[in-house]
Amino acid sequence: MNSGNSLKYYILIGVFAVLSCAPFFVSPYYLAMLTSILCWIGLSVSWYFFSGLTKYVSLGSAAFFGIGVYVTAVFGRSLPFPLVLLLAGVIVFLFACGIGLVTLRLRGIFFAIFTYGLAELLNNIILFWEMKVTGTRGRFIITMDVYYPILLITFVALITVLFLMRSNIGLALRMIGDCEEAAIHFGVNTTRYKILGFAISSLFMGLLGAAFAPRWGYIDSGIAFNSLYSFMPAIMTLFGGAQMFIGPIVGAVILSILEEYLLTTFKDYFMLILGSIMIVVILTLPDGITGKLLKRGVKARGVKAPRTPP
Amino acid sequence: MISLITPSLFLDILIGGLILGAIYSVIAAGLNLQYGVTRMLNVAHGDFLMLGAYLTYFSVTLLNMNPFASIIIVGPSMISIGLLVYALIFRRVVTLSRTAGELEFRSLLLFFGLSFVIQNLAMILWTANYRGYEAPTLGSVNVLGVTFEVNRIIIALISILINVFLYLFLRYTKVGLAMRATVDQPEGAQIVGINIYTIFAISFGIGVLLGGWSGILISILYSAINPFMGVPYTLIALVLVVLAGVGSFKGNIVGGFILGYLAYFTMRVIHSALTLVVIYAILILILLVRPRGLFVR
Amino acid sequence: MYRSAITKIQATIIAVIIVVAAIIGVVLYYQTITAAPPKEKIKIGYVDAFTGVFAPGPETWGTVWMEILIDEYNANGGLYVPEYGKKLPIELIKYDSKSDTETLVRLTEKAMAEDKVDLMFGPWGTSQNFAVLPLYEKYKYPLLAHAMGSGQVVDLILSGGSKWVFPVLAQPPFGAKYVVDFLQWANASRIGIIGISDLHGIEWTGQLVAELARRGLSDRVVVGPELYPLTVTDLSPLIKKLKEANVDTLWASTYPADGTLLIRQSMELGFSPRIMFMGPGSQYPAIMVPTFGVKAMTGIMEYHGFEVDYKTSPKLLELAEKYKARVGAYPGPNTIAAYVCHQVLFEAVEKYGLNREKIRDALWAGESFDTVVGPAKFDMKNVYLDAPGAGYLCQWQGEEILKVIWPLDRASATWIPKPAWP
Repeated sequence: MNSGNSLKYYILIGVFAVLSCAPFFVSPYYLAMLTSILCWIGLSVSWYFFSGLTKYVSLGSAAFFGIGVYVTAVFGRSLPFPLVLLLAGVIVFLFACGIGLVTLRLRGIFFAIFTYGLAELLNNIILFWEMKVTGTRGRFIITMDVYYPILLITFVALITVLFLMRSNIGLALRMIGDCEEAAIHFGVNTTRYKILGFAISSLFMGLLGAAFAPRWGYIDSGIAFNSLYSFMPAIMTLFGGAQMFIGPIVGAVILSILEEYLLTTFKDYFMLILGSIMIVVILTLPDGITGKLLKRGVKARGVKAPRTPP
Repeated sequence: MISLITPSLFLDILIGGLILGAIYSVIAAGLNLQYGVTRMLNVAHGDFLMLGAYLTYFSVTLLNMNPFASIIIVGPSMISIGLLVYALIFRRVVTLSRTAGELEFRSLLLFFGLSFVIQNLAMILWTANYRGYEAPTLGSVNVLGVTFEVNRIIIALISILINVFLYLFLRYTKVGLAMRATVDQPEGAQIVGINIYTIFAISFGIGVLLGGWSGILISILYSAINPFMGVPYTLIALVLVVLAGVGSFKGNIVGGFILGYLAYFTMRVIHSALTLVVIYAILILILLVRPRGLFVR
Repeated sequence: MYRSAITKIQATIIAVIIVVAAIIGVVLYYQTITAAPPKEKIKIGYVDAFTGVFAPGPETWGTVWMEILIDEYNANGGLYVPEYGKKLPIELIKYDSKSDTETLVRLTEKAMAEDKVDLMFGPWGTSQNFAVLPLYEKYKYPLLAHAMGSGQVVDLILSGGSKWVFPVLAQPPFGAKYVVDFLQWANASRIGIIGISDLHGIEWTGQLVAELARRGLSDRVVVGPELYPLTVTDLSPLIKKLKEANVDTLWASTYPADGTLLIRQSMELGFSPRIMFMGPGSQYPAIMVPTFGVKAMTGIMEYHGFEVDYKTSPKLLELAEKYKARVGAYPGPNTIAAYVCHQVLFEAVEKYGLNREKIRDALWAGESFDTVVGPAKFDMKNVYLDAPGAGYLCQWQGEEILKVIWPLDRASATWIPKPAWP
């Protein structure tokens, strides 16, 4: 690892340390906001890892997040929390592999559309299952503070993604994003890497869902599979810039704070303002907020960014 | 759960699926056209449908029009809205993007933003209260022992008519031909002198128009108009685009009918709560066999 | 070489963001702990879905009623608070949850912990009420659940699991009892049960089936229970099933969207049962009258267990007219639950002050408070708000204001079998 990369890790660890102290200084509402922001960062970075690199737009984040939420709902009372997280991770990983096997052979846009309906599909399946088989309707879960689990999972996700981006899988995903045919010609097993990348990305989303659920006290399939979680990670990443690792972080932080501010100040108009801001940003900064930075960095050096592996 | 399939049930499914399928194909037609030509995925499609529904509502309540006739108001309005939106928002992104991939990414975010804006505008202007109007009740008709509502039949016929017009337009007009050329060969089309950007604008406008028209039809069937009603229809349209294969007009129609039959059959024979599940199951099967959709050449 | 240029920029951005966020956080935090000014008004927090897929719910149900209530009190100087010995004006602080549970929970906590509101008005929707209940318990605010219906909340209350939630409407277990009482009285013989496949539909249809079984009447159910998804676009398959089975009693737990679909398609397919229940899907004159007209609606019934006939008293009629002036149509018969239950809350405040624990105890004890529908008290055994002016079932009878038809001692009119569609 060269010095630039180690710096990133140190920064992450430093920020993690600072944020770990937050509950001692911050009131419950702001802690909840921080938890929420961290969760969005985790989701956006996970989304970026697969969809940002390979350019296969996944609109199915809600499905994986929701499975995590639901696992907590079902097992949260009978199993210790770490075990619930483990279970959620395993289930989501396997499920994502399955979905990947079926759909990642498709051209990108079909993949996007297929994933768009996944959350709704799972919602329907679980609803039907609950109605006919188990006879239950929604579940109560024990509420607890989830700041630390979310903080931990988000930072593990950040560090993992940062690490993987330098490894084989990161390079392979990037190649696929640049030109999939070329990657195949180079002998890269694109299917394997796509599925793996997709599964890892979804794994973190599932873990975040499982960790976040105890905030809500009561879960039913409609609450678990909320389409908001489908497109927000994509929006946040594209807004922040899908070219660099820092893009989704910037996008998530800015959009969540912006949204909260707008929500509490302009109650009736916030969607309008948020949507307008999104449109204006893309029109003026088509590569997202951090997009310009990549180009400026390249121009400053007079070097074209190397995109293919050595 | 599955009852015996009697001849009358069979007929019911035969015709019922047809009607539903015709409606589905119109809902998806606009999206398919837009994506096929411009490669931008309009996830705000359902919201344009919603606008069409509201325009119909106002035509009926304020101008005392027959909802079927409101097509003459909704048509020009939606095309104007479509062209305006394109000019204000999308044209710049289209000209700036160097690759189709870039365009897909950026336009996605734009469409999400647009969706928020449209929904919120509708809410500010018209509140989230449900609206409904008195649609003409034309009773039902008995076909070989099975009853069908006349309204639905008329709407199915109109849907088929819209599809026919679309087909003729694409086949026989210069603009339509240019559109099809752009779908098949974007670079080649430019070489023969087609102004891609104009075609993009027109396709976008027509896509919005079709969305609005499907809104008219839906509002006749389904009187709970509210700013957020478009969301489930976007999903139907998107699923249909996958099923049919992008940019394929025939695929849109046939896919629509397949979807309609699946949905109707599930509702009638199996269990209505499983409708989406069955559709997705079949979708997965089809995608396993023909990953590019049913009808892509 | 170019890599470290990016890295520095990235590092700088991260650092700047953290510093800025920290500064904002600290500033905002300190803003909220400045000295509290002397009490000038009563602050009521209200977090609900004003945008998003749930938005029609609060809009058609309780929000307008809450505003009317507050206006009434403010017109008379405000709410009398004993510990200040005077009336204070009421301010309603509204936050939009965007139909997202996380936002709902977070903003509810904001209203309680940051804004430190004096009272809270609860959200619309059963699952939303469940989601915020832990917060109401934690910060000790009574939750008057005016738009919630679930057997699970009954279990929770009866098992002592919660002392802070007060359901206003009849909950499905109790509701099933009076509905079956009615069905027996009206001689329902061939029952079809359908509904929307969300919590409301699942619970009501489930409890109905269970109660029928308890009374040995299960054989009267010939179709269903069958639930359809929220996004249904065609109910004709179901209606045809019902028609084929010669159903004379239809129970349909619907919402307005599918409710209008059901009515329209039933009209067109010629399915007109003698007894027809539709849930919230049929009770809003704002939607039903322009779409179908009062004549077509005649005979359809609603079942929520807090049904009010606005013509039974001048004050009620006045309130209904106020609602109509704002919304353009008369209110649904049980939407006034949002007004009445919060009137109970205000009366409790005027008696006990802003001591929320005392208020809670009074409500639990079934203490009676004066309201527009008579002396209202919470019946925590059957878990609903009991008032003489509120019946259990109501029916469209040829005009925009529905009539109460059950129980017989609270009825404002006699039940009529549903006539054929016009």
